[in-house]
Amino acid sequence: MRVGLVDDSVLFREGLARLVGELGFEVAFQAGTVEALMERVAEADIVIVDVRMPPTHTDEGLVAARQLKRARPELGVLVLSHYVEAVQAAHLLGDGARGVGYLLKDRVSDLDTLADAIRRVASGGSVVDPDVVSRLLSSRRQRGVLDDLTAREREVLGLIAEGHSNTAIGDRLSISLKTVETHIGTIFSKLELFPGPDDDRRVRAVLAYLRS
Amino acid sequence: MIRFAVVLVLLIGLTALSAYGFLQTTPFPYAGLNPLDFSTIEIFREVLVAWAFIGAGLFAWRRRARTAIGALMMGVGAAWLLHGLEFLPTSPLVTVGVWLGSGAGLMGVFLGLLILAYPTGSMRSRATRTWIVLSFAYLAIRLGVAFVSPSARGNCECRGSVILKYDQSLQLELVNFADLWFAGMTLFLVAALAWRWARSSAPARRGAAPVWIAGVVMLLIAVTGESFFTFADSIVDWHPVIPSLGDLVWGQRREAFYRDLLPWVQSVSLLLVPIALLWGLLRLRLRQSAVAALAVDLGRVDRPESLVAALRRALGDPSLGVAYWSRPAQAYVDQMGEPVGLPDAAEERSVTRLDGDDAPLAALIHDPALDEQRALVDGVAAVARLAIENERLHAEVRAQLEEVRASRERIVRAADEERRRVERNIHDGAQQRLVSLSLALTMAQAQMKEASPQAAATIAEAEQELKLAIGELRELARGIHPAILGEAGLSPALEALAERSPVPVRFRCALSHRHSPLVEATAYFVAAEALTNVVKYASASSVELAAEEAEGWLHVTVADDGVGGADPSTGSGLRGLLDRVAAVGGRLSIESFAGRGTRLVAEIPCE
Repeated sequence: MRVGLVDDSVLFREGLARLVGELGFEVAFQAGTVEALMERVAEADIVIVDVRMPPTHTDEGLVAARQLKRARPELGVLVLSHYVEAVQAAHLLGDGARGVGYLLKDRVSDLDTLADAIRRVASGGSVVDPDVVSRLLSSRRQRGVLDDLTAREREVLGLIAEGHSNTAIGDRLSISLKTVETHIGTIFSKLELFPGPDDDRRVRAVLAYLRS
Repeated sequence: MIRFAVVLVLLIGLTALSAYGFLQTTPFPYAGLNPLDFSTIEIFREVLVAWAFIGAGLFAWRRRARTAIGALMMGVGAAWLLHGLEFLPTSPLVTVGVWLGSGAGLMGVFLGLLILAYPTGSMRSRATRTWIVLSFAYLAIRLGVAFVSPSARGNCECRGSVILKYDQSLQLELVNFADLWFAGMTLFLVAALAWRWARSSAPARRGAAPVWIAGVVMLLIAVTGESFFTFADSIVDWHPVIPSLGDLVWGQRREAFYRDLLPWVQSVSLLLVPIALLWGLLRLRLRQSAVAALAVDLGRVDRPESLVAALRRALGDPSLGVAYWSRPAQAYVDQMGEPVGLPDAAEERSVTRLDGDDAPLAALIHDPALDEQRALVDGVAAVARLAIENERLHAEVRAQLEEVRASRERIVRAADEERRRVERNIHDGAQQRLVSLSLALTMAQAQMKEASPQAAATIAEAEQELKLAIGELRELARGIHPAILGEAGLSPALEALAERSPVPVRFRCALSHRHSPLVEATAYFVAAEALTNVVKYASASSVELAAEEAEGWLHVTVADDGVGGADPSTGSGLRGLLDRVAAVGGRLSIESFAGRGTRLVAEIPCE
């Protein structure tokens, strides 16, 4: 799998390149600007992009990521940021695109998380930073919105929101796929949510529900 | 004061003398008339007319405003009294009485002078000088009459009077000639007045009303006087048919009219003159109460009219203009700041300067007729000076306030910019380095896993610490300036703020578009500080955070259901919020009653 790395900090790019290489992926290119990314994006199956890029250092990376997803829907895009916000996660995923990830920047120093995120995004799944999800969950819980759910159901809901598949949720919680599916069925009926069968669609539905 | 007393005594003496003359009942062949007999009421009438003028003159004199006018009025009154001298039993004064007291006499001369000199008292105009020349001629003719006329009392005995020769036909000729001469003078006077009227400005015309009344009276005297009948007689004489007709029409009635009615018409119409002049003077006094009204008007903050309009009304001069002294330009300017030249002496405009303590303040440019009402203009000018000075001070304070406000806004803007810069420096510097370091540690950990699991574990511990540090730094940078505010705007930033709040937040935001960084940052920091206060002090179970825009104002509301009792005067936090909002021209209201929560509403202008 070919990975393109886009960040204006060479130091970070180099460090990330070594980790990606260590994980056994091929680093197709490194780019320090959006222009360089656009030039070489064809060489990669997935690009990892920082939100803040030159020239204004605000959200050029995010804008470029959404542009790329519209132009090449099959391209995996993993967006990194020093800050993660539910609003931006919803924006990224809200386009209906598959294969999108949104992670806190220092999250990639965890090799397992990085490998998982690259694979999921590359295979068309969604990745949402646990920080975003946990903040949404806790703020909804405060307001009593999720009171109908059991603790385990809330755990499952969080993992759904982070973009994990049923199998992955089962693995993480050490429960059977069947149990996971039962939980999910209960959660959706309690929340009166009827998302489609795709993982990314239910991520969007859950995020939208949690943000409302 | 002594002069005043002397004049008064002289006038009273003359009055007594004249009244004594009137009292003499006598058969009187004068001008072919029946004997003249003055009743008490007629004497009273004569004295009343004289003293109406004298009184008005004294009044004007005492006011020291128009000495010449006062003197002329007293002159008219005194001259009227001379009429009575004609009837004295014996005295050279009789000749004086016939000379100056009969016909229009000195009274007519003075009345004409009075009319021409009113209201300035100046006798230098061409019309006045012409009048004086004509008057000398008239008085010379009357002198002739006096020297050929007997005393009213004494037939041709002429006791005590200076008679050169008594010749009744010569006397009649001379009387007729004098009367016609005076009628001509009256026509000249009316023409002069009409000419003046045509050239007068509105305030001058208003001021001339008493003179016009006097002029009409003059005309009445000239036309209803002896000269009219002389004129009528001459026509009657000239026409072959009319004499008999004239005798038929006039006959006895003419004499009755002459004897009984004419003096009343003359006296009553003459009485109008001092009344009109007094009214003119009194109106000036009333005008001065306009100064008080002006002061009240200009003192009002929400005065309905401009300063110029108020001044125009107070002075009755619609052409009045105000020139303001501009300190920077060192010149007079109009309301729009355009330079204004003050009229010089050659132009027919007067200038009243209003000077401040150290520099000119303004100048009123007005009709020269107002110079006659110096006291009024000075009063109005004093009030205007106060008003203009007040306005100037107001303007200065407003300018200073605006400067302070702009300066506060600049400071806040600079502070915001600094926060953004610091956050970016942290982001691009420390945060980036630490994350890169974290990647390196991960790499090291992976490399050491096989060789030294112990070292790998130590590295893993270090990395955990590093992650905490990164997290703390992130929150620090976020507090300095939230990246999302610049990236996505106020609404997402407030939403993110709500999400992080430990107290449940009901978030409501109806903002359709972005605002200026200053407005967004102000709204955000107000909300952030208010939420922090809620968490720290309010013991609230929930808080409402709302942002909406209405009519160019952004309203940010933070309302909790906590303990309340927040007081901006005690906490620097709320004080800081008040300052912050005020710096961008906004308002902050805090309602906080013990036990009933706190409601903070910031209104920020956003257009």
